[in-house]
Amino acid sequence: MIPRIVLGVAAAVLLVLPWPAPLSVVGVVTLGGAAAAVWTVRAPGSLGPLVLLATAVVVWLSAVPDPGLVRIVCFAGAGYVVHSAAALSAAVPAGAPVGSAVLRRWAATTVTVLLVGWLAIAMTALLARPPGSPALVIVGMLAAATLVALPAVVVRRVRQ
Amino acid sequence: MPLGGDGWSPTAALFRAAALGGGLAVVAVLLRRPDLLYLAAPIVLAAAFGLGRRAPAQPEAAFTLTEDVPLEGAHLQAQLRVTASGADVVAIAVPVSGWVQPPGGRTGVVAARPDRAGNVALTVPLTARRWGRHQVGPAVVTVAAAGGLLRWGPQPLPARTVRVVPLTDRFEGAADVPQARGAVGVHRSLRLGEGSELAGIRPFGAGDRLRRINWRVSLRAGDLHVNATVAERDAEVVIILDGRYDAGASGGVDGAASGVDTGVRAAAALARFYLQLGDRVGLITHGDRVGNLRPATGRRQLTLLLDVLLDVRAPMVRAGEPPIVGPVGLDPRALVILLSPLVGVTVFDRAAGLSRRGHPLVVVDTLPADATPPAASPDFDPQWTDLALRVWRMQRESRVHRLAELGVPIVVWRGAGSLDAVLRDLARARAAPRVRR
Repeated sequence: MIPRIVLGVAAAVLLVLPWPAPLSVVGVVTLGGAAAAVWTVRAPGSLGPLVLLATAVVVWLSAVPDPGLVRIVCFAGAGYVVHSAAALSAAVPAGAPVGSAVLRRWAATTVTVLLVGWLAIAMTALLARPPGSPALVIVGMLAAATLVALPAVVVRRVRQ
Repeated sequence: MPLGGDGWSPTAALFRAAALGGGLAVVAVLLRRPDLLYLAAPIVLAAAFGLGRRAPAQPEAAFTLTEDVPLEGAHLQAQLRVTASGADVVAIAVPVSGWVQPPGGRTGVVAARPDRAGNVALTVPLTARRWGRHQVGPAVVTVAAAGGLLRWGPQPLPARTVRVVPLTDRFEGAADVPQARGAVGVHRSLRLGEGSELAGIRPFGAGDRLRRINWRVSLRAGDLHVNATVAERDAEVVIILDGRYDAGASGGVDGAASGVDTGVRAAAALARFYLQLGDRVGLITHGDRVGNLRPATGRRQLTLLLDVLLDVRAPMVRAGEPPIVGPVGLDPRALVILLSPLVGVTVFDRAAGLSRRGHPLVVVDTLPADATPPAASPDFDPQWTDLALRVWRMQRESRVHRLAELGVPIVVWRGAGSLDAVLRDLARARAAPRVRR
């Protein structure tokens, strides 16, 4: 039950973070996001989390033209918690008492990944100060290589 | 045992990581929004970290129960031992099937993390709520690895059969039986002979054993006197269980008892009592099939008898009354105990026939006092159901009275000591002198 509660809270945070926003298209999309959040909590192993994250990104892009660093960090953190909590919830049957070792391990991994992710954000923010610096180009190349390699790894796993 | 299945398969989380990683990068470049990369970064990082580890091995699983033959109402555990090296989470679900159920009557689920060696033991508590032969499982196992990006299963493990022994009120009846049979046992015979129970003291006679001399009385009287004892006998008891109709609804060990519940529990209690006394006990059951266990003695007979009882269930009656096959090869001196809800006509005919043939017979009424037709049944019109039930009860009472007039004792099963008064009366009636015409 705990992973689903965490998932629900993170989904709510993810949808609330872009606000305040004009009550037009953004409001409608947020309502759709709320429906996706309910779907995600009920069926974390479905497409629900992907729809929720995509909806949150659309709301974010529409409502937040110039985000501050703190807001970005919070949004990225909430997005990752939704992703990882959905992955854990999908592995655990609904209503099952989850061993404390599972939760500890999940929390440790999540915190580690978030810290490393936030560190990367901070580093790139610092590196980006002089536009077009060689360090920024290297980081960008590494990020691009990772993004290209990941689908390849997925395809390899599927074929195995 | 290796866990079957198609191997490790990617989960929705893995596709999500790939889609978000690639999609957000493209959108970030197209819209010139680098902040989207910050959202993608932890997700891609976690996926790379999860998939970069050593590939998990094929899991192995064993599904067992702590007890295969529990008593009704007993608590047992479904145990699952899984060896899954490299796995993150192992989850088990034991669905509710039959009367051996997880707490609350809901699917028992539990999840845990394997230790460093990849071993994990999961237990789901179960309660055996009703006697009978029940299936536990199939237990469904799911193993997740790489932070939930890979999954093995859900894979079912074969169900286990549990034989739940009926819970019996401890029957503490009188040791008297109407007619004893063998020369060894605990029932007092009417005749004097070799035994342990003192019948009196009499003068020494030719053939008396020296160890029977009562020296204290002999010294006082001046002549040799010996202790006279009554002979001991064993008896043959045949229990006939009528399970053709299951009157009332069974609520398990902690709920209401149906007619078959009462009959099976009573049969088990009686069998246990008489077998402990050293008597021979036989069993004939009439349910969806006929079971016949010849009279025998000992602990093995009790095990066999309980095994036969576990298979008793009422047949689906569509038309007509299921027959009761007349017992074949019944010892004329055997005590026959007929356990029946006394529904239908055949059971009264069989009881009357047994009584006429001279068998000492006791009929135990197992119809629950509050037995009614199912309320929600569409076949019954509530307007007429009460009236029909009253008429049926009156007809049944009439048949019960006619059977009682033939001299067949009919008692309602109330657990310990239910049959004491009846057996005592039967024993006296058998001992009384008879006039042959």
